[in-house]
Amino acid sequence: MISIQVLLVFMIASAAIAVEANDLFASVIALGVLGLELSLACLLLKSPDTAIILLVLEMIALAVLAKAVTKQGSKPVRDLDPLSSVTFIAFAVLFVTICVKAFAGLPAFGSPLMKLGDIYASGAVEKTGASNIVAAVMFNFRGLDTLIAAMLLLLTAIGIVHITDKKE
Amino acid sequence: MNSKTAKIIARTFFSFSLLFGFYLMAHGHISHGAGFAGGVLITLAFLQVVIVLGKDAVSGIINRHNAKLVAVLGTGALLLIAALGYFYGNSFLSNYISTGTPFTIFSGGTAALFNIALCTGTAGCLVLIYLSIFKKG
Repeated sequence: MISIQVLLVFMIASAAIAVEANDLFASVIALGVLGLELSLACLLLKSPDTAIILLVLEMIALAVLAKAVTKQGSKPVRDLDPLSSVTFIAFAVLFVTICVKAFAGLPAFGSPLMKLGDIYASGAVEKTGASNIVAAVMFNFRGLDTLIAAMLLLLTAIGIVHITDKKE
Repeated sequence: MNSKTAKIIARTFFSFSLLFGFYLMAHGHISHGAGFAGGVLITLAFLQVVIVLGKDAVSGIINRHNAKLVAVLGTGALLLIAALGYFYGNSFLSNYISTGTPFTIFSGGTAALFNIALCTGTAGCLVLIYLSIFKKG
């Protein structure tokens, strides 16, 4: 688990660079590094499906953001005024306090209750014939989730096409 | 983009990215990766060509009309596969095809078909979103 903790330190550092960097392009690159580290973290936590999707999506996001930033010209980000910094810190403290209280009630990390997961994991291969249990859950047990996710993606594309066509 | 190196790399890796995307799509129900990961990878293969070679150079194949067609066909196929469960199975989204032998390519029943439809829909939608946002190349 030490590797995850080391990775977490690097992730926090990348996120801090992405927020604090003066150059917008440097922020985009830091965001790309953060995505890569997140993908590595998923791989270490034995979730290769999520790692593949995160890695590939991060590449697309990086390409789109880099293109958008280079098109606009890399302008320095304006400095934050003291009032917004104080507000940010106040909300951050509030968020952390609520998170600590909320996470206190959860079962310990690594020992989940597995009420529904047990049903999925036991005999999923026999029931569905799909040897990748993640795919079996995605397309059989939780098929409606996947279907609505695909619809949502199409809806997003339709919305973007409508807005960009209207602008002309 | 005028870089010759970038052009050579984009041309070389286009087929590899596409092949890996199709592999993830076809083997989604057997090994890691599924329709969504495959679709995103296929999008990436097309986008690297669009970004490096320029939109006009590949507009014959990769254009908004084709992207719209693929997006609607993929998502429509997803709905159709789910709706056919009413007629051939017990309910909407039911697994009505023979589940086959696990760990072989012809297994998983509708999960394998879902993978292909989801991959097509995702690739179409993402390419369409990119082409709509960056219209001028």
